[in-house]
Amino acid sequence: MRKKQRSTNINIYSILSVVLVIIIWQSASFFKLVPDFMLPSPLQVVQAFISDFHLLVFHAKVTLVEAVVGLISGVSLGIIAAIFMDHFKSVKDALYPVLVLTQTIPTVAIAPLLTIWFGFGIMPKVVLIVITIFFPVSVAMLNGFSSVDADEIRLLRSMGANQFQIFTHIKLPASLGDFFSALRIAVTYAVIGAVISEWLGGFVGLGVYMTRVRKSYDFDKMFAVIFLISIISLLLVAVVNVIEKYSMPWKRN
Amino acid sequence: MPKLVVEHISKSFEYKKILNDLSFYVDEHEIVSIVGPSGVGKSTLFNIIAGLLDPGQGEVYLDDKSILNHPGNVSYMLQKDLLLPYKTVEQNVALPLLLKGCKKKQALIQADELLKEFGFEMVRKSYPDELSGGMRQRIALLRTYLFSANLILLDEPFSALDTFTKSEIQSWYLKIHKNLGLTTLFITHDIDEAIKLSNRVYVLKGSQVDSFESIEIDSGSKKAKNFLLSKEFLNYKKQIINSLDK
Repeated sequence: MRKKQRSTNINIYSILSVVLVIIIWQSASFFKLVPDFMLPSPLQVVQAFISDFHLLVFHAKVTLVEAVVGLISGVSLGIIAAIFMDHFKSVKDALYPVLVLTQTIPTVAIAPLLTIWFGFGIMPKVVLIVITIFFPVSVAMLNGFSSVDADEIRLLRSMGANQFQIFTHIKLPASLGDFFSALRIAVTYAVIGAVISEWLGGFVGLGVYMTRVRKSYDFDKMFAVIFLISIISLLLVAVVNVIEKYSMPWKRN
Repeated sequence: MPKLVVEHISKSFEYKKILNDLSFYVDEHEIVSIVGPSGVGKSTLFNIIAGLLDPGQGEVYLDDKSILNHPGNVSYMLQKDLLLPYKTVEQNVALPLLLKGCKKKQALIQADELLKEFGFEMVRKSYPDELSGGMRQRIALLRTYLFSANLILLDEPFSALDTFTKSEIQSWYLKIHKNLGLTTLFITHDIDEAIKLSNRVYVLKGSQVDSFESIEIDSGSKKAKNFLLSKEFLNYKKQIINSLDK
């Protein structure tokens, strides 16, 4: 009861600040402080969103599929790598520097290359997302696995537990907190990664649509796409939060 | 018949001898304490008996079978209760059964029965974080018991508790030790606790070679009212302190 009230309070404040920004923006357009063709008013953006709704949904579906496929592959690969690095120190020594290296690669530079290698379909998008989110996920999981209390492991060993049982009963639940923090980051990276990748090569998707409207100077439509992308990311983060709450019942109180 | 026999155990860490030719035994249904200052290798000894650590020399027999380097034969409990925070009380208690390959449902039923028997059924769905220290320690003991009633190793299990909870939980342990017919080997640096709980007390000093004799605590005198304030109690204490100084 008390908890519910507190979270509503936070929502009220954040809603207030968003409303305030929109009011300032709308009045700036209304009083002609900024010309329409440079910055459309929120009202115009909403109109563009409504009139283009079917087109936006069509492109959003493509982007969403790419993001989800990339997310699932990237997260699974990250977890598998973390398990191996946790289990074999030599794998960690060999893999860790390479992982850091993948983080230094500028995404924008590599995306056109991926298009050349893998074509204009879903593949280069997924690969780009995997490259972006593999590192944060594997490092967070590795961190979670190694933060386990050594005495807990000793206790389970004294009870005759094997490595797999130690993993499922201690390491996995102990690293869930780190996993969900990483997943929240990965979700937003995945959406942005998909959009950037479409931007630099593709036929469909929100990124493609965005380039198209930008080239025709339809900034109201462009803002509509930007908001849609933000909304998609926010919804995905919300989904992660809900899953987190249900898979970590011991953190609920 | 002795339940546990430890023979000529020696263990060194990096040229430093921790345990030197140590031998002792624990009879069935006894509570035997090992008292000694910190750093003399009490916990090392426990890890060896639990099968987690390889001593350089010596043998450990449980019911006449060697359990050296074989974890999973004796129950083991530390000062930290080590209840897993991500499991409910009943899941924690059921854990040893699950590790042995028991079906989840069956393990939970057995854990619930045990919790009910000890009056913890109202907290079985709670998480350890929601419980008091004394309560957690008792539940950890039940988990230890459910793993194996054969021999229970307790490594300073009550030393993190406050005096009142401690004395209460000690009496509780004496009761369940009797009711469940347990055999306990108990490590402590608290001499009072050792006298109060044990049938026999071993005094462990730094790398001893000479005899490792136990001090028998007469169970008759324990029944006396105010045993903790009696002359006998003080005599035992004197005896233990003297052999520590020797």
